[in-house]
Amino acid sequence: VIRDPDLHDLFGQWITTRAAELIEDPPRDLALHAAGCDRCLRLAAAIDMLDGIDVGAAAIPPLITVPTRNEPGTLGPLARSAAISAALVLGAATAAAVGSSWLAGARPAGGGAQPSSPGEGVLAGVPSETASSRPTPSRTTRASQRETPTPEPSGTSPDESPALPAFLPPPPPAPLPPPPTTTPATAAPSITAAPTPTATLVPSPTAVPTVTPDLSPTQSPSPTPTSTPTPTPTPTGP
Amino acid sequence: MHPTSEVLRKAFRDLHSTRLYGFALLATLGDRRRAASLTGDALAAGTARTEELRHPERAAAWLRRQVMREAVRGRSADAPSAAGVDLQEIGVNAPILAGLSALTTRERGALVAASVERFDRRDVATIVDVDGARLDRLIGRARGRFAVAVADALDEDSMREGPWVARIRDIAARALR
Repeated sequence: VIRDPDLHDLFGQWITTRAAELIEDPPRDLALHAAGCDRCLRLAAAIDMLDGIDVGAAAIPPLITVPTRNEPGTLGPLARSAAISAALVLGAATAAAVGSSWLAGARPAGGGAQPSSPGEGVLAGVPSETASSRPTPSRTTRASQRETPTPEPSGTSPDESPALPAFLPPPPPAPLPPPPTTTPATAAPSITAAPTPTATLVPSPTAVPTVTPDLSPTQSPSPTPTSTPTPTPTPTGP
Repeated sequence: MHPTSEVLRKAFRDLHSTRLYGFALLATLGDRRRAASLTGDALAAGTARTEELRHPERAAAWLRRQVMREAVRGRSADAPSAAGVDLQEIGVNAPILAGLSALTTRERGALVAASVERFDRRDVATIVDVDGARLDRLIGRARGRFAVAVADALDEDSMREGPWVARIRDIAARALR
């Protein structure tokens, strides 16, 4: 009776499926079998051992008691640094744009003759700061992705535009960059005096390089007329 | 932040953290670091939503569900040898560890939720994200595999008479009288 394999299997099934709660007694024949079967008693003992586990007795490591979570109104350090760098890049780009517009305004009609600097003509046509800041972010993202490894600032720049004035120092210093590229071609000595300082500013990483290449394709017509006037001064010099 | 909210969140953490960590320890076979990480993540997610809590009695199941999701998704638990003092503290000896090691993570979660913590069926379904007949099969399979593995690992010293063994002997004794 006790060694009946069917009872053995049946008890195994019962202990695993029906004995989830200590409500229902096992059938008598199964209990009789199990009471004399070492294997079945072991199965029952195994289920009994689950009662010996006390989930609440664990000592919690200290690190999990302090969940880290940002307050809704605060920025994380990464976001804060990204915002600052975005504002700085925008400021530099806007300063460069304003400066180039100044130069374009001060220069005679055919000032920027080289194909590398036609952006000045575009920026010169767009006088206000806000207008110049709008186009730069979308274009700078493409250009800065090639040149600088971190495109975040330019990506976030449109949102940061209201904070721009705070980071914008004086616009005049930056204007100089574009002219140096053009100056070698221009023979007029009076104009070269102004652009020369800009040559030192050209290397400045993000602002200048990003602006000039992007805008060039749109204003391609402007450079072509300017190139023709340059030869005219040379004959007049002598 | 409103002070009441902070008090509520602290109370929520204090209420759930210990048992949740114990659950995570069992789910990860005693991987303390991983259990702490899972517990911390679940508590952070839970405390962030304490003000939305409409059924506090379901919060424990919800937290365990978070733990289970990540535990199932993550790498498999370490070998039983990695289990340290923490498992012993909660009553897990070598045979029990052998039994838990024989299960998948989801089976472990189902077994612990149903047979150790004795959640009701709805909560177990929430925790393991399985319901209906599949849940029954999952729990049954987990108990069966656990029982077989523990039975194989039991020796005379570690075998003790629990409620089921006592009950079976009692029924048999009454039947033979």
